[in-house]
Amino acid sequence: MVIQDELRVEATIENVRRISEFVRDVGQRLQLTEDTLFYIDLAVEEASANIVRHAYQPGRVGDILLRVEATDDVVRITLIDWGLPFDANNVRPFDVEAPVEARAKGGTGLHLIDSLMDEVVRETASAPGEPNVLMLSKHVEH
Amino acid sequence: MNITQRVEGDVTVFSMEGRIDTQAATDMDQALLSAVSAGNHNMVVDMSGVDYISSAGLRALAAVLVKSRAEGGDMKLASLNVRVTRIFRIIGFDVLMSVHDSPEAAIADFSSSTAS
Repeated sequence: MVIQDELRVEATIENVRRISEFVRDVGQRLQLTEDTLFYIDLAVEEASANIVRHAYQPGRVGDILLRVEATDDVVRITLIDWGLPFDANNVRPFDVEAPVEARAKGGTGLHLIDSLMDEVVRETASAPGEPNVLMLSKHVEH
Repeated sequence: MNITQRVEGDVTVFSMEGRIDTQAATDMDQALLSAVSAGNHNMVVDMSGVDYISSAGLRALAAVLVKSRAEGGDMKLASLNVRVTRIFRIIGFDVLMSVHDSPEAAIADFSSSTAS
């Protein structure tokens, strides 16, 4: 089965849930296993929440465009935003042995995305108004 | 997500049901932190009804654990499903958190901690 679909919503925390519903609907149409759908759902939620919190600063409105392309073997979800570009240099490497006090401050979302997906590709905007693109790919088990 | 609570001796047991996504994590965070502020420092979080948790929920659990320990108590988790357990392992929460097979086992662990 081949599916191509997309959803464009305003980047708000409320719409992160709408994005999850869209992803789960696509997953059910593709008859993904519960495990695969769980991992994709979680990675997309983390990525969407990061866009809401970090790409678009408080008070700044913008959109998230979600594109899904799926074949029998791979599900690829592309998230596009027009906010501030993601700067990998500002992200500390994830420390699986960090104390619980540090965990309360966050930092696990990116690690989950990288751990759960088979391929993660980021293309950051080169100028204001240009899109930031995050491509998440997961091989499908049958 | 639904949250219910009951008291077992000096332990408050919270039962979570549903998805702990970014929005639901705020509800869970407020419910558990309010309980700690109200003096319920020892808590068990029964996760048997939780089929999904994202980083916001994980962050909230860490914050509650920090606060309960600061108040002289502790937080223990019970009955994680297979996928949630996998997420815990990926981020090291299986080592950081006190995880038990059942709420009863988690409650008993408080008793043994007190005894020792």
